[in-house]
Amino acid sequence: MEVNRREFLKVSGSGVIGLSLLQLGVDVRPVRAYAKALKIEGTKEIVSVCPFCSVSCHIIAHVRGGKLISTEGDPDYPINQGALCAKGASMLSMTRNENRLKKPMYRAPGSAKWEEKTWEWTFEQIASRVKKVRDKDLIQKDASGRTVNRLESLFFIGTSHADNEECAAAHQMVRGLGIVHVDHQART
Amino acid sequence: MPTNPVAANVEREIQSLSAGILAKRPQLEGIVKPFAALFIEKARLAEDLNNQLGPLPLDSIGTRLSEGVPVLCGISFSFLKQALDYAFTALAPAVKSRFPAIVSAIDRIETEQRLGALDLSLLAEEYLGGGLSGIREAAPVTELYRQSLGFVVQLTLSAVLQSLAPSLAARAAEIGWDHGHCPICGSMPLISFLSQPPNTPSEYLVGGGGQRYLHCAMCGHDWHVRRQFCAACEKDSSDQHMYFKAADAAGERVDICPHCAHYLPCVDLRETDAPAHLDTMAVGLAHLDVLAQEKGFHPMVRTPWNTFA
Repeated sequence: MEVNRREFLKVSGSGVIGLSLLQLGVDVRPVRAYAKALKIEGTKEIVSVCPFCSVSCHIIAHVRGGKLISTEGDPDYPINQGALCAKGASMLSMTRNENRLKKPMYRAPGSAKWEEKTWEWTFEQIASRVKKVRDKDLIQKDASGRTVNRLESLFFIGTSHADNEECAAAHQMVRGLGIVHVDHQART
Repeated sequence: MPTNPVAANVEREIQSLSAGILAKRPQLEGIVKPFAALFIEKARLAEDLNNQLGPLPLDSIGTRLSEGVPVLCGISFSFLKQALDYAFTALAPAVKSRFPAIVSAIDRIETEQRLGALDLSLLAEEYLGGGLSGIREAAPVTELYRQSLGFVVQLTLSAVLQSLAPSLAARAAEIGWDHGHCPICGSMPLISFLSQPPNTPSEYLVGGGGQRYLHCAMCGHDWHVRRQFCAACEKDSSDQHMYFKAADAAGERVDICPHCAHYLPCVDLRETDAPAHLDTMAVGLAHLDVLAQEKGFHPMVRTPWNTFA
């Protein structure tokens, strides 16, 4: 049996048969006035992938005016079925939380005061200090003469706020420098 | 007062919900009150209609559904004739009392039905299938009469099918259905809702729920679809799906299809404590119908409360 979809829509969409509120004697002016006074917001729903681990739960990102305004688990994705772990659920705060750090902050050794610094100054400081320590402490060969290129005087710790790709890039960077003490805040 | 507990419960839901709507938006009183009253009448009919409905004259429900054919599509409604007549007789006074502007048209329909000049089962069959010729021929006089007859046929058939649909819902859910029209009666959805989270919370997970269900405008059956699925054109719009909502109205929105310009009101049951009588909720979102239509979008299904001119 063939179902003619056009027939369904003929009734549903055209309004060929059926009364209007005006014909029913209902005054539509109040609802029109109410609707006109409303502040209406248009929002897009965009399906994306949670970046925080390799499970890659799907999320629905709600975007208004080019800005992310909320996120939720994608209810149609079979793995998470609308739910998210604590990290995934906090995704919005990664980009929208007003209390998050937005500029580099520096506290000099022995100081109790945080100072706001530029990114250029911060990158320069990190690069020069890492280079200085690495130049001084890099262990190129072990006691047996084998090449090891170990840097044991630097420690690198990652953050649960870093996504999969950021973690991969950071890992390659610290291994490339020879750093052997690497850990992650979220490993527990 | 209704004698069966289910109808009493639905009646309480409708009353509570419409009171909540009017407390928030008194401007909708002229729309919400009369339709809420009609929905209560339909709920009261449920028990009586259940007793009148015989077995469905179909033995191939599963086959029909698996082939994408709604259960009641294209079959004779003669087995519903008695129930339709009964529902019409019960509903006509309620329609007249709530909508005095169409009393004369309803009076005439009552007379013709009593004299046997109108076969509601045939009209309902044609209405559901989209064939409107029976209604046109049956009403040769005025536009108001013709449209009142359409309204009455929709209302009466809806009352009967809302009694019939629950017995078919489990079968429809078991077979699965990925269309925009109802698996039971083939009608388009009136409203959609996003489901509440499951009752099995996990200490490791938050959220859940949010599955989208379409609510049939005719028989009231709810069926699951993908979140960004358009019931009218049956396309997904995974990166273009859009909705509009009023700034201070949590859980109420209207979903827009970028492909075919149809819209569908939606309630997010995760964000509201209101009783979920979806027909009443749809009426309570008439202001979003106004806005969507002013933006050039079309409703999935025409109802009196979303037809303003």
